[in-house]
Amino acid sequence: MPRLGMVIDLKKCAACYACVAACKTEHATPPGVFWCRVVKHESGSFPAVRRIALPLGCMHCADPPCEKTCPTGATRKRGDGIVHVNYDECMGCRACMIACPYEARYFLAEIRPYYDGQGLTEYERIGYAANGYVEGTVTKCNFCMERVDAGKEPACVANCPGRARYFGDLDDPASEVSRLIRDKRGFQLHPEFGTNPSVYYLPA
Amino acid sequence: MRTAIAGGFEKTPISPGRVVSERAGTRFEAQSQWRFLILVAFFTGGFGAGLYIASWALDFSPGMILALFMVAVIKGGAHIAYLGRPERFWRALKRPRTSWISRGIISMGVFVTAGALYATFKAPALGWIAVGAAVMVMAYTGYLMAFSPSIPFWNNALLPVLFLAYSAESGTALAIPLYTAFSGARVEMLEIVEVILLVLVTLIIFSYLYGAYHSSVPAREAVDLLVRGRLAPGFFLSVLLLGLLLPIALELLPGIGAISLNASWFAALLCIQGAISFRWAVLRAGVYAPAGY
Repeated sequence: MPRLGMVIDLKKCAACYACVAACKTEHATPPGVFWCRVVKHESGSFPAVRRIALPLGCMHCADPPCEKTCPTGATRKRGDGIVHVNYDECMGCRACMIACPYEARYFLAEIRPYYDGQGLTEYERIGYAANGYVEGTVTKCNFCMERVDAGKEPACVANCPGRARYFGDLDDPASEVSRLIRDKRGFQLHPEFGTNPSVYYLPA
Repeated sequence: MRTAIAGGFEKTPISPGRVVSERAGTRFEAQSQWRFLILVAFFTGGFGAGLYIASWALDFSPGMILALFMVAVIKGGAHIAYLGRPERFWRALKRPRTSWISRGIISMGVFVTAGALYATFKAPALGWIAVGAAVMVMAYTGYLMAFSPSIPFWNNALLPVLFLAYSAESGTALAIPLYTAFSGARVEMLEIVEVILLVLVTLIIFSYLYGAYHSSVPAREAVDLLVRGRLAPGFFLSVLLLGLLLPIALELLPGIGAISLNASWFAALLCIQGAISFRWAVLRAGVYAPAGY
């Protein structure tokens, strides 16, 4: 069984938010819910100033604290390493949100429409139903497992115009992701938490 | 490699937390998920279990019944009210192998069942089972919080010990005047235990904060919030002065066994408010290590 993972090249990321938009489109996430997000930072002082964009999302940790702390078994790790939430089993205790070091989870207190007072649009109604969102549960990135199961890349990878994202098998030393991590000094965010994230970054 | 992302990242408005402080370009956010209802549940669970053990030691049935009520009704009710899908609460029993919530809920069930049976039949074995489960109820919230790598201030081995000691202390504090009011008898031994627990809790709090301050940047930020930041007035006044030091003085100044019933009630109220304030302060100081710091 492969261990699916992602590599994000910070040098190529232009902070265009195409991954954020692609994720929103693919999963029709309700207002305020961003499975994929990009944070920007300026560091240093003139003339040595740098601006870095950091795409963030679920790290699909090999040793996920969210899965261990979940009392219902709603959060599961598949054999290929994808960590996902079963909305029909989640009871909304939010222990996983507390345990996640990457702030990748969102609580769906209520599924609101994007346009207040106008109800759900047709797109929202179909999108919410297709994705099975349930009020009072927790939601997060699932590495587009429905696309992965169909042999496609996650939406954020497929739609990145700068080709800053790579997706593949971390356990296969010949895969592109393994080669990039090895050759370009790929690193994980907060390895000190000991969760062994499956998302790696290449230095900016 | 880490230098490429050092210095902190600006959190976009889509970040779920709330900024509580900023240091060297890094913005720290406090957890916003566990608040009032969780405070009620955590406090009444520990306090009730502590009261049960003290009452069991005195063979004091009203105290045991009050404790069972607190754990079963108030703690249980607060947990269920907090859930996003309360009708699925029973699913929390499914993962005791890895989840502290599952272990805690199972402990609650064993405690309430064995406690109620012991109150009815007075079989010693049931009493011991209830006491064992009560210890688990007192400590599991500390283990649950200490499991969170995301909040380094909580991710500390002393937290379960502190919660256990605080629960025993606050429960004992109430058991003393309650028993005296019902039976008219003094419980000098329990007063000595209470003073020891008060001193022990004070020492553990100091060790906990000292260890956290020297462990990591977010944990240091949390300690700063407690001792120098906006939580400091409440922490020093409610937790340390009124919740620990004044009760110690009330117990010791007249001499063990000489405290009046009214002063004993007053000391118990001070201890209880101190235990609530401490848990509230720890929940509020739960500062995340931002993902990009």
